Amino acid sequence: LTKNKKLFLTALILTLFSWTFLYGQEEEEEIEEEPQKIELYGLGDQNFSINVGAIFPLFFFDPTPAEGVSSFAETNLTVGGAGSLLYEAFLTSNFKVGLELGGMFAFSPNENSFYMVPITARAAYEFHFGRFSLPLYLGLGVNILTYEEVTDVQFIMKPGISLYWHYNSEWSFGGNLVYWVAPEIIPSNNEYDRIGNFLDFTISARYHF
Amino acid sequence: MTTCSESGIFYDLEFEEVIQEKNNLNNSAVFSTMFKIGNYYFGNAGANVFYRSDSSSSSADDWSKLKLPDGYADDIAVTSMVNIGTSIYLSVISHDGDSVESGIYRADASNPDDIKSGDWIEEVKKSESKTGVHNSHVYYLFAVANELYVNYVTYEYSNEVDLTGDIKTSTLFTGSAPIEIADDLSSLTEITLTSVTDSDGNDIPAKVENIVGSGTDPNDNYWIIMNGETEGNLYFSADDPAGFSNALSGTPGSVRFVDIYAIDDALEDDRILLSDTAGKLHIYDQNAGTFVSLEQDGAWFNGFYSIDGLDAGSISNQIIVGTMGYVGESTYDGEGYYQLDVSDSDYNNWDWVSGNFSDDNNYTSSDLADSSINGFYYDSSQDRLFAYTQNSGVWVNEEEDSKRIWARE
Repeated sequence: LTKNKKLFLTALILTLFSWTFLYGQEEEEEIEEEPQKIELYGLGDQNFSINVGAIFPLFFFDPTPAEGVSSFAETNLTVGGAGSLLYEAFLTSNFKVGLELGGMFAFSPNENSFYMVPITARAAYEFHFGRFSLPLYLGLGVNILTYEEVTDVQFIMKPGISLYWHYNSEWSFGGNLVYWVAPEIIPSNNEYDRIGNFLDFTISARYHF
Repeated sequence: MTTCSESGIFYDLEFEEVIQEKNNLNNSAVFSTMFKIGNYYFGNAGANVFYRSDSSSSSADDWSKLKLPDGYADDIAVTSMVNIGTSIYLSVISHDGDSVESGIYRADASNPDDIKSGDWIEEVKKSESKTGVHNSHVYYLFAVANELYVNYVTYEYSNEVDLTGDIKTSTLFTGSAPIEIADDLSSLTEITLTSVTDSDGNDIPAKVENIVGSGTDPNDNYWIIMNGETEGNLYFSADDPAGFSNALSGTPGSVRFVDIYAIDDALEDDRILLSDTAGKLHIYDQNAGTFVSLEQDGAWFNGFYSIDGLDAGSISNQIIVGTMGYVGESTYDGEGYYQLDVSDSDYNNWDWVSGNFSDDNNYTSSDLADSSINGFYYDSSQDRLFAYTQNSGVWVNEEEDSKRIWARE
């Protein structure tokens, strides 16, 4: 090889190296800039909610109506107040379980107070959209009913939906819509069996920790 | 699931009816007695006797105050009131003024609107100065069929401000109406009862608690209850309104008696209901000479009435049984009432009726269900039942829209 050819080859190789180096540098920078998916919650995250609002008595359902009698009847109760304390823990980024202590009151035609205190275990799946989250859930547990001097302990089922806006990483605020399916089974006489149907709407403050 | 409700809370709410204020009687009025003369109901409460017509129209059935005897220093209290035929007999007392004054009065109450204070016939009147240690003379009246009973009790007071007093003497008299009562009760027949025993085993005088008879015939049977400090006595007289002697043997011991009721002839003769301070209801058969007892959760049993024919005849052979709070309690909360089925010829099979005739409307939600009952009155001609209470006034039960509804008088 002549001296000129050697110089040309050396320059070409250096140029290729430098391009490869520069190209490689550009590829690494692109990988670093690619957006990463960061989960909002994960195992170990918890939240505590306080809920206050109104409850609307819908109807009583008679599972064994007399012939010719409708299964649906008015509750004779006024619109009442409802509230609850809720603790939840995330198992995954969207699925969480919790425990809720609730309460409601309403009044009968003779202005006597009627109370229910449900204690339920809850499972929820929570969708996240930007600063909003939308949990769907189902609560199952026991329900303590009190009217006049009578107290019953029964089962209860509470499906519901909520919508929260995240104010910051610790607090979110929103509302809940929960349907109460509250059966009252009288073992001694099924004629008296009723399934109470109620709908509550509450506003909520939720603390994340 | 556990439940303490017989019919269910939701079920009760579904059928709850509004408690109406039917009449003008104050809801704190405490009737001691109630009966009907002609077309008028009468009830005495403290210093007043109220009456109203049996009309069902609201404009005509307001309660009015009966004019009471005058001639007393101040307001009088009605200690007891009974009726025989169309006559009302009142025993009254006044502690106001300088003396304790008491008496027995009678008036024909066929037209109560026309009764004036001066129309009352003074049968007995006593007055005693309240200076120092002094006595009062109290008359407790009972009526069984055509028989008037007067329990004449003298109380001794230690000074002018002592209002409780101790029983010093107690005597029982009887006479058949129509009757004129001499001031010293000598026109009546005195009934000799053995005294009750105090906790030290001494004989002491005691007030008569109640007298009942098994029918409207004077030749029926009669029972009396009296109470000592810890134990009650039950007396029986066969076919003679004055023939009481020794207390019946075999009566429940170590208890005082609350109330007694003789089963009407139309149901069963010679049987009584006897309630005690242990919360038991004893059924006694005079022929068998034995007691059986029933219980319910709650308070003592007080106030009995046959409700045969109630609800347009749908109820038969049942007795409504009231309850009252324990006297030692600070409140008078009772447990309302129960119904006793006495249809079985064997009284060992008598038992409580499950549910009552107004469970499906407003009884459970009413204050009546938590009240202490003083008594009942059932007017079969109007199919109207009254319950008069110690703590929630007077209630009336009538049919409305095919339901038996309780309302306040």
